[in-house]
Amino acid sequence: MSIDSSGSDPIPHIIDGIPIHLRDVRVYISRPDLTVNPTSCEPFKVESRLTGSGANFGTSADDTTAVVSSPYQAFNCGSVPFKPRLKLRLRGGTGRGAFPALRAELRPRAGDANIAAAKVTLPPSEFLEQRHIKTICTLPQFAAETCPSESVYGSAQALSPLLAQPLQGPVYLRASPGRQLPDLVADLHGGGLGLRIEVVGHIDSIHGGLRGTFEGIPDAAVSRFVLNLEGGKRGLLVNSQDTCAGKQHADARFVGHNNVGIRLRPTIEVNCTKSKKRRRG
Amino acid sequence: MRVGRMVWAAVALAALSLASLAQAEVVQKGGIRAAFEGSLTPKALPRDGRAPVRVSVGARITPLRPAEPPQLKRISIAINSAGRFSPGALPVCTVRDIQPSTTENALEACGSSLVGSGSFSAKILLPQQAAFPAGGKLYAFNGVYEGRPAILAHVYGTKPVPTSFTLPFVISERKGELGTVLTASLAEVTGKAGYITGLSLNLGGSTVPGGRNYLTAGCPAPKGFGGAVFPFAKASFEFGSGKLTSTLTRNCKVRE
Repeated sequence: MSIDSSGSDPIPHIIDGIPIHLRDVRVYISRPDLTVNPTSCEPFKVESRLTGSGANFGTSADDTTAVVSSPYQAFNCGSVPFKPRLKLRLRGGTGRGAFPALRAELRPRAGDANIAAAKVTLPPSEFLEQRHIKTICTLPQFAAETCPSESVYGSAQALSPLLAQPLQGPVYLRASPGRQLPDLVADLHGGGLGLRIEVVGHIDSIHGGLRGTFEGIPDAAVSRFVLNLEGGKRGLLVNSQDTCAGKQHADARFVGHNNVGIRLRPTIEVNCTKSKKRRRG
Repeated sequence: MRVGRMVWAAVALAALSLASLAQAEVVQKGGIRAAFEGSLTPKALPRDGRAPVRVSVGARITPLRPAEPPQLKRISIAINSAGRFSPGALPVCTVRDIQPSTTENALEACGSSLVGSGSFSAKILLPQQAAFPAGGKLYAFNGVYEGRPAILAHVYGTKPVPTSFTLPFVISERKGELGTVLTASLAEVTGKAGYITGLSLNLGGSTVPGGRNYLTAGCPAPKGFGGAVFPFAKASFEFGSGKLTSTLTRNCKVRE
């Protein structure tokens, strides 16, 4: 966090003709739940840039500046619990060659360490359907918020106990210079504060499974994160086998900001009712 | 008379050895270079009738300006009429049986229709993204495509991501010396961003389980000649911007 003199209104030097010489300013932020501790034990500091007025109040020419900082470091982060829950569901066709939609719902528990990184690998039953990559968003387009509509492949929403409103927005395939594949990027807006946060997932594969790697996630509490990838003609996934033929498991690895890791093997939910009916028929 | 025959045979064999030096035929047009190569084994074949053979054909596509790679829309390989496919000799596989799937699953579904193998390589080019390679080993299955006999070339790769393609080469017969034609439309298979850079197919021979007679050929040598130089295969590469053709000449010896 950084507070500098350009971020505050000028402090008056004369009030009602009386010169003011400030010696001490104290700000108490005491509203309950307004501030929360980080869940990382990395060293932080609160830094301020102060601008002092010279003898001539009317000009900034003789102003001087000073930078002061106050260190902050939480400890015993390893004792903070970390057990996020992940639910994955494939919707749509279950047969080989179908293009299912994917819904991933991440629910960290209240009071847990925040997620710093996540790697989610889908089972080998899901291939990337390259023919459905119509276009991707370039970095300049993303910065200017002018990504083409054809580069949208889904949507995402994040809820935080720190924000009155959800953050939400489209999920793009965005150019990723230096990498083989474009990134999957959730462009989240809102939160009631006009925030813009990007959640970037690098795509690759491991052991024949499609993997998304999300790193550099901010140390902020999230109560729920939902990512939806479209299916059908715009689906990025294609079933390489009947997903109702057996249970499909994903491999999910999370690292908390407290450096605690967890590996999950969530079963992917698939609606096999229609498939079973068809088989019986 | 006998001396005359021997002279002709010697001339023919000399021609054969010269022809065999040129393994790949390179053609270039409109910023595209295509190298087409192929072989036929064994070289000793009956003059009358046919014997099981193995045919290998391959192509490499290179753009002269890498920033503007050509997108191969359609490939057609016409093979000498002395060679024959016998699709009826093997069980039939369909695209639905193998696409999409891993190689393991494709072989499980259609292993009894396997007629060959090969390789496939392509580049996927997306805006502001370095081209990434896609491809892998190719397995060819005897099949049908849109009701016509075909060779279904299945490719599975895991890098950078798991994906599979099936290129359907429709087999047709036409009149003429190069009368057995394999044709594949590729635009739908590779998508908008896919650019094929290489393809090879090795068909028939020992790779065909229980179907050695799938691909047979004779040596089209006139009577009195111990061998022949013949147009082996002609490839046509159709790009959005034009067409390249290349013909390979190969040789055979008469097996008495």
